[in-house]
Amino acid sequence: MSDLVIETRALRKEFRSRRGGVRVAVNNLDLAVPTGGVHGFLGPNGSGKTTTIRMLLGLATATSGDMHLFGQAVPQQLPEVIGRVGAVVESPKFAPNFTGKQNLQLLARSIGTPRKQVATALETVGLSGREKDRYKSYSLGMKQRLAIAAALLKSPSLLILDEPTNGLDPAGIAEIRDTIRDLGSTGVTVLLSSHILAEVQQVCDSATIIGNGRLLASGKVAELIGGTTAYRVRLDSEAVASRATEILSATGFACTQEHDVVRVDTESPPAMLNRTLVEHGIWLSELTGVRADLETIFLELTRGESLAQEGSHKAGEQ
Amino acid sequence: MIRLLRVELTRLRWRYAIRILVLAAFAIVALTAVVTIWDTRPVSADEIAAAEAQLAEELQQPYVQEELEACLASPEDYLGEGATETCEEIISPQLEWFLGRSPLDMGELVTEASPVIAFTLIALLMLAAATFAGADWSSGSMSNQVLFVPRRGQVWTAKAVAVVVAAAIVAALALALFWGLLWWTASERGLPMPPPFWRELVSISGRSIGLAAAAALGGYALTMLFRSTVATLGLLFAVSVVGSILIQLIPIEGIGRWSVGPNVAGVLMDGATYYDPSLCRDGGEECTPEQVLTLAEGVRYLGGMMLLAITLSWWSFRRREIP
Repeated sequence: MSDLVIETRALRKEFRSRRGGVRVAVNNLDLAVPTGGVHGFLGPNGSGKTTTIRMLLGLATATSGDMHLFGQAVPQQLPEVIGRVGAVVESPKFAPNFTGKQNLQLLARSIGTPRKQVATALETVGLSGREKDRYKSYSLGMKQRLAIAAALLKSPSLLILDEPTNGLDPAGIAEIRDTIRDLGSTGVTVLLSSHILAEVQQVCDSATIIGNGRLLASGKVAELIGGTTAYRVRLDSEAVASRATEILSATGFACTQEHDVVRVDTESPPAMLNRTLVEHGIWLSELTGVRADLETIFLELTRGESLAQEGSHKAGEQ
Repeated sequence: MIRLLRVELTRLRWRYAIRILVLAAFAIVALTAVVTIWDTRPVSADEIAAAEAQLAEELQQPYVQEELEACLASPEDYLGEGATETCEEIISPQLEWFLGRSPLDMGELVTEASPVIAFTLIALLMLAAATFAGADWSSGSMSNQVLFVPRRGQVWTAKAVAVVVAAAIVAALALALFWGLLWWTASERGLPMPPPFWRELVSISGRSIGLAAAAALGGYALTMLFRSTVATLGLLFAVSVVGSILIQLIPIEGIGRWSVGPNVAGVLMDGATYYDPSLCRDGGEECTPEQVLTLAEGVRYLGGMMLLAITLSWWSFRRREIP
C-alpha cells in the first residue's frame, strides 16, 4: 500500500478558449504528498495550484494523467474517499442569508455527521459567539474560518487548504497556523496551498513548488532550503575587511565586501575560513552562517520558469 | 438519499425568497377567494327593490316593445334556427340584468377559477424552484455541497425530489385554502354542491397540483442547466411571449398547436379550445380557427419538453466543472 496521501502522475489540464486557443494550466505534474505532517504547495499566482486541487476534489476534470487519494484513483473512487478529505478551495462559498451554523448544519446533515460536531468545529475556529449571525454579515476572516470549520466537520485524515489565511488579521493568522500545526502533529495530513512563503516555511514539514503548472522542486523544507552555503565575516574595521577580502579571494573563495563585513559564498566548513584568515594575522570579530530561506529558493526557481516562458513566447512571436 | 432529501427540504424551507414566494401564492389565492365571495354575495332587499324599479322603467321604453314585436314576427332572425329560448327571454328585460351580480355557482366556478389559480401557482412555484437552484450557483455553495457529496447524480435528484414534493404540498394547500373558503361560504349560503362538482373539483385540482409540481421541476432543471435564475426566466419569457408571437407569424398551417399556453390549458381542463389563425390565412369559408387540444396531446407535448430539460440538466450537472 502506498504511503502517499496524494499522488498525481503526468497530470495535465488544458483550458480551451472559444477562439480555439489552448492554455495549459497544469503540465505533466507529478505531485506526491506523504502521509502525516503539513505539506506546502507553493507557486506564483496562476501556476496551477488551485486547478490541481480542484481536479483532485472532482470539481474540475483532468485532460490527462492519473490522480490518487489514499491510494484510490480519483475521480472514479472519489465517493469512497471524500469522507476522509476536508477542503477549503479558493474563497469561502456559503449561502449568504443562512447563519454560519445553518450553513454547517446542512453540510453536516448531508453526510450524517452528528450535530455536536458543528459546535465543535465552530469552537475550533473561534466562531462560537457568532454562529447565529448571517454569513453575509461576516468579515472575510470570519468567512475563511467558517470554511475551515466546514472542512473540519468530517474529522478528516487529509485537509486541503487553499490560501486559508487570506483576509485574516495577524492574530487570526497565528491561530489558524497553530491549528494547522496541531492538526499536522495529530496525524492529519495537511496540504497547505499558499503564496506566503514564510507561512510555508514556518508551518510545513515538506513542500512542492510549481510554476506554470510544472513541478519545480519537492521535498522536505529543510532539504529544499539546503545547508549553509554562505558566511558573514565581521572584522575590526573596513580596512581589515578589505585585506581579508583580498586574502580570501586569492585563496579561491568568492567574496563580496560591505563595510566591515565580508560575505563568503562557499560550501567549505567555517573552520577553513577562520584558519585562512588567522594564518594571515587577521582575527575575526564574528562569523555567522547565512542560510538560504524558502523565499530565495522559490524566487530562483520561479524566475527560471518565468524566463523560460518569456523565451518560449519570444520564440513563438518570431 | 433520504438524508439528502431531508437536507434539501430544509434548505428550501430556510430560503427567504422561497418563503416570500410561497406566502405570495397563499396571499393571491386567498385574495382571489375573498374577491369571488364578495362578488357573489347575496343581493339585499334594497338592491332587489332598486333593480325592480329599473326593470319597470325599462319595460316602459317603446323600443323594447318594438324589438319584441319584430322578434315575434321573424324569430329566426333573432334566435337562429333550432333555438330553445323565446323572444320574451331574449328581448324583454329580466330582473337579474339589473341586479349587478350573480349568486355563487360552485359548478361554474370550478371551470372558471381553476385556470386562474393553477396558472398563479405554476408561475410562482416555477420561480421558487428556479431561485432555489439559482441561489446555490450564485453563492458558489454548490461546490461545497459537492465536496461533501461527490455523487452528483444524487445531489441533482435529491434537490429535484425536494422541489417536486414541496411544490405539490404548497399547491395542494393553496387549492385547499381556496376551495375551503368557497365551500364554507357556499355552505353558509345554503348553496347546493352536487356530486359532479366534487368529481370535477378533485379532477382539476389533481391536474393543477401535477402541473405546478412539473413546472417547479422544469424551473429547477433549467436553472441547474443554465446555472442562473435570470437565464431561466429569460428562456421562459422567450418561449411564452416571443414564441407565441413567432407562432402567429410563421406561415405553417397548424403551428398554433405548439404554443405552450393551449397545451397547459389542455392538460388542466382535460382538453381545451384554442385559436389558431394559421389555419385561416387563406380565408376559406370552411376554415375553423378554433381547435381542440386533448389532455393526451397536452401531456405528450409538456412531457416531451420536460424530458428534454431534465435530460440536458442531469447530463450537464454530472459532466461540467463546478466553479
